[in-house]
Amino acid sequence: MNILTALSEKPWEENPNPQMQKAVRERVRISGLRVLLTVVSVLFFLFIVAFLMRSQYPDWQPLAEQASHPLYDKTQLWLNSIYLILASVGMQIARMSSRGTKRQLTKGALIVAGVFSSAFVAGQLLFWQQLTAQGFTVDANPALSFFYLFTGLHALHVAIGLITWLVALRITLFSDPTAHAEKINHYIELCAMYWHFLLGLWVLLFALLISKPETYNAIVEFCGLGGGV
Amino acid sequence: MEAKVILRTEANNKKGAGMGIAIALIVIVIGSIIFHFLSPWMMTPLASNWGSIDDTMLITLIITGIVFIAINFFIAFAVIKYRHDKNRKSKYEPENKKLEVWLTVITSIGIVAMLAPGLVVYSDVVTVPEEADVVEVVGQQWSWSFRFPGADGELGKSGVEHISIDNPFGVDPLDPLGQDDVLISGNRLVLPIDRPVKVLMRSKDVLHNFYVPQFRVKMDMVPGTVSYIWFTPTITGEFEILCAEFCGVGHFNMRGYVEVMSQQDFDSWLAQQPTFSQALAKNSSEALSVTAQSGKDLSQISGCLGCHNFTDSSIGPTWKNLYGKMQTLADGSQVLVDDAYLKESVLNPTAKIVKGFAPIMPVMQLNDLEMDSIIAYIKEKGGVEGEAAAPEISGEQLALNKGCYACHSIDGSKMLGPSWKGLFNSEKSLASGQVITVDEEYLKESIFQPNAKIVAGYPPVMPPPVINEQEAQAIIDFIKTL
Amino acid sequence: MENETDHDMHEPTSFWTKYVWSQDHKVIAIQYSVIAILVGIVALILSGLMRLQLGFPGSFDFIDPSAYYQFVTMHGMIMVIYLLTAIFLGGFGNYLIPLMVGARDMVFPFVNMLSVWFYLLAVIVLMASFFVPGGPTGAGWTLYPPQAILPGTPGNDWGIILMLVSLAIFIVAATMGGLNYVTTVLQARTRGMTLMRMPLTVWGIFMATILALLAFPALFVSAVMMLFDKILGTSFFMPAILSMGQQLDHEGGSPILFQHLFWFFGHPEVYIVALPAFGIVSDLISTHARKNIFGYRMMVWAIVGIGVLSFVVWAHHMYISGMNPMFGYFFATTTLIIAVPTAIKVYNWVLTIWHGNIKLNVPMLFALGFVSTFTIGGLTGLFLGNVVVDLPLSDTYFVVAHFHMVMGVSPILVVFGGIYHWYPKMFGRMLNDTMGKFHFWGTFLGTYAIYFPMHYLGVLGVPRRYFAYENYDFIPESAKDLNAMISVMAIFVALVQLVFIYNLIWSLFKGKKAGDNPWKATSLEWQTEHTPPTHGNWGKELPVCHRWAYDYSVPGYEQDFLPQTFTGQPEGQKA
Repeated sequence: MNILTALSEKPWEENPNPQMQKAVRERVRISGLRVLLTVVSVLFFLFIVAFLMRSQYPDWQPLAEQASHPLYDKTQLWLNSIYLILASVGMQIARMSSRGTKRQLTKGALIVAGVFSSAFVAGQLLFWQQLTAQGFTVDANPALSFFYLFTGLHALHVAIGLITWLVALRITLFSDPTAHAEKINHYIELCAMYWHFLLGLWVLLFALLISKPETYNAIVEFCGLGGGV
Repeated sequence: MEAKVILRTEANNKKGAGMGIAIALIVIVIGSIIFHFLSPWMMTPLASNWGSIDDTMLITLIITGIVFIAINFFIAFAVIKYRHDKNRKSKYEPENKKLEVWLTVITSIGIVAMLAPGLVVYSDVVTVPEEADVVEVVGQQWSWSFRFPGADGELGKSGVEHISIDNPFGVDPLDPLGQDDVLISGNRLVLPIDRPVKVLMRSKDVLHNFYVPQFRVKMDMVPGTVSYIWFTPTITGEFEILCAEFCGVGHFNMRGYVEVMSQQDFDSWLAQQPTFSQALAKNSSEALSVTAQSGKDLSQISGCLGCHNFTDSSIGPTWKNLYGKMQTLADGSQVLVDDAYLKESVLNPTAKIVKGFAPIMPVMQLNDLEMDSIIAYIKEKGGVEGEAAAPEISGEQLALNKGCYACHSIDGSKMLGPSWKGLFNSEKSLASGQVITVDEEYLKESIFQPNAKIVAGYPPVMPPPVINEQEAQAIIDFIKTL
Repeated sequence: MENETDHDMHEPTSFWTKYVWSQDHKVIAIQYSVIAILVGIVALILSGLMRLQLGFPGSFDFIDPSAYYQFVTMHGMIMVIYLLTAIFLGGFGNYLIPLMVGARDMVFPFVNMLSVWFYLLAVIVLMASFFVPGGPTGAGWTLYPPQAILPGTPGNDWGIILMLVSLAIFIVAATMGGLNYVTTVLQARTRGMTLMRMPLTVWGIFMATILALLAFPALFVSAVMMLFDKILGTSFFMPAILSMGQQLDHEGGSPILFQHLFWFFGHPEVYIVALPAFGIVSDLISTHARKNIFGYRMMVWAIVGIGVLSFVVWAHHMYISGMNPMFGYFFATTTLIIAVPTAIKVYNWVLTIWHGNIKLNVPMLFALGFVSTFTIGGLTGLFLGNVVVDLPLSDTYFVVAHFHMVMGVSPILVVFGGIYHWYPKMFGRMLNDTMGKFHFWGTFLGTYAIYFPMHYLGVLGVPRRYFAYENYDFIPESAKDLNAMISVMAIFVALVQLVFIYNLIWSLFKGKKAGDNPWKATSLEWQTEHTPPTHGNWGKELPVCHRWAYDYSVPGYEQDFLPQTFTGQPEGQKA
């Protein structure tokens, strides 16, 4: 039902009772996950706004323009991105195959997804280590502080995702596939949604962090964020 | 019908029970109105051009006052008229479009009536008149200082990195615009009457807010940026400056004064105040003067120190004891190292090569101020002593100017810090448990390292004041007299 | 949720799972409320201590400036976040949403349980800051950097870190709760419960939860970034500055950026507290006036409109912050626009009692008291929202009086009213009426006496957050007497709350038995089989909703209220 129609209903008038909402467990969970992802989006959106506003101050130094910049060598980050893409692909394969009968494929894909996600988290930590070893610590310059903040929070979200992944994995591996097919599909569905979201988020953050200062200026100007502070 | 009337009377007999809230609301409204007109707590008398702000406030007060009275009376009336009666039923009325539209329209009109004049006045507030004079207010925990732009009408650049004991304002010593800036390091600002003034604000440490109730406008002072307000003082006299943005434990005692006087008085007052360059010449509490300090920074940045230093094994001619000595040149002639020679050697290095050195120095492009700063550095570090300046004001005045009274009382009352009354020669137990006698040495230490020996019962929150040794001594002498 | 085999619905049997590790929304609601009230008492004591200093400066040796600022800060933060937000969303939201929409529980009971435990953890971390070296932070509840994390501010070491950590934990708790409330309203309404048939209480809490979910991230962002600045030495909010005469390593950060983030949370926060109050008060007025709420649709639209607008007014807290002054035009306009839907709500409340049949029960007294105090608070908001009038008034006692009226006194009156109204459902016994009336009159008249005159201190220009006002020439001596009077009233009001606490406990054992529907109310929570409702709320069958929640005094029916489950026909049309 259209939200505007719903909100203009006159509830004191005689209305035929509308069909009962079918509160299926699945739909409730997906709905809950959507709300959660909205909150996470808002969180990162605000971080990005803060990042862009901060980028307008004179002491700002871009991260990936010259060889002396911390993110100039992006090899590790590209590698990590590939891990996360593979994890997402694994989730998608698990999701699609779980609707069919290829049980082994589902299990395999789910495991692959988890392993690559762990590799992503480990890879990010490794990159942090490389950076600090080069003297690019968190307080070195504001853009770098944001880099640590963004990657840290994002990796934390992946790590939290891995906990739900463990639950999904347990159910997929150890419960009776015929009796719990619905449940298995459902958990995998939720994981896949979450993973695709985190992949999209990572791509956005990665692109933002390695953009040129001109790009920031253009965005800030376009959104009218400048001048406020 | 008859039965109804009887029941009605019964309900009326019980009226005392339910009417409390109605009576209370009526009393509150009437009481509030009486309070408003009898209250001795009205706005401070206006002393600036911002009467229009008071006018918009009056408009808002009238409109909101009417609504306040109307709503409360309406509730009271409704409670009396429609109090419970078990023989009566409420009216079933889900909505009344016409009434709701009317109410919305009337409300909107009221809102516009408040907002429109407000925005018109606001556009005056943000548009600074071209002819406005400029004055800068600098805030720090918990005192004020002020800077006038001097003859050139422009303030020199400033920055936290330039702040030192001899340069408390942090004016860039190398900015020519700043040389004639007039510095008021006390907490008393003087302004001429009937001249619009644009107040630029900055803070050395945390947020502050420049607030003079009689002027109506106020604005935060934010470290890292410069904010502004403008107003025209219209009444002569002395007004208090308050800090209106929480800035730490001394916030409530960050006092200052602004004195509005005639243009003539103002001019003669201003003429007596030191300019930045005068102030620099006098100060010498540290090894290097501010000018020399910036010369040192400059020679580091420009790479001078790569070849010249103050040892005997310098690649270029040593700067040790350089100034004032006779230098033997490559052609065997001798030259006195003075300002002119040094200037020439920097701007045209190969003109007079010192014997024993190769002509490899690149040409440096320096303006006069930069040149002077490097010469001052060579002079001071190389071996010419700076002269000590005697404090020109009393310890009492200094204590006021430096904001000591924000935390230390002189009448014995307990404030943030120990009172100065009877402090000297008294015994104090420290937070560490140790008991000491307050002597000169302890006082001096406490001024320059305030948190080294904290008296028990007081928080370690004193910022070291920006004063030199002589000034510290003057304050100590003052404390002794209390 | 129709499905009876759902595994979440097993009734717990042991004491621990029933009352401590409970996943039942009713128990969680009571847990939330009890913690909130306890922590609120701490904040109330702190306000009393503050008022002692302000009313009788110098008479109490143990209150030095550091302690005073710590009291101010903790009082504000606890009241706004840990009491009001928690009790409206975690308390009322948890208890009422499933009952009012006809669900058996929240949709994610386990997450709901985690929510209350995270909330408790947040409170413990916050309370711990009273016992660490340096004490709790004294930075003011707005926690503005740079001073919040620098020497010169009390509790700049441990206090501020614990405060920020506690806030972060609270936000996690609020998010977990919020997920539940929103999803439950969206997905678990019973048959026939359309959005527009929901009681306004649910609407208010629902919208407030959405605001919380969207606004709390901003507080989280600013808290995390400030923690970085404090602990790791980054420069998000820290410009190059001196502190205690030393130049710090920070460079280039922006304190105003923090203020933008903080108020992007802070303003919706006002409505997170206000919207549930709006909703609850609508239901109280309608029920006790025995009349349908006037202009229900307008009320819903106003709630939605206020919710949306609350995200574009935040910088009206920053007119004098040093931000670009051009922003003033925009934010003054949006701020005054938000007054229109708010005014409509006030009109509709008073129009609801017009032609009503008003029973002045204790909840109704609180509701009417709310309309009066909220009117004052809302109207003074028009002074502060109008940028140019704000210039002389901001950071003075006018602001203090305004926000205490609008989001201190008003919501707390609704909290009290709501407790008097739903306590019979929660515990099966009525709260004592005499004590309730005494509580109302003491609180209502007392707070009026505190805050109405306080506006005048602000008009005079007395700045807020001052430990003492000695030797300021523009403040007349009489202001000190006024301050003393305010302090006496504040302590009186605080003592009156003891009666309320006593009433809560006394009535638990000795209160009059309430029955299922003591107020003869229509909404679903009063139609449960048992009072208090048992685990799962409803018997075998979920209730079916046939009408809106405001069928009071419907013409043609003998009884003066028709429950939402009522299916009968008007008398004339009876077969």
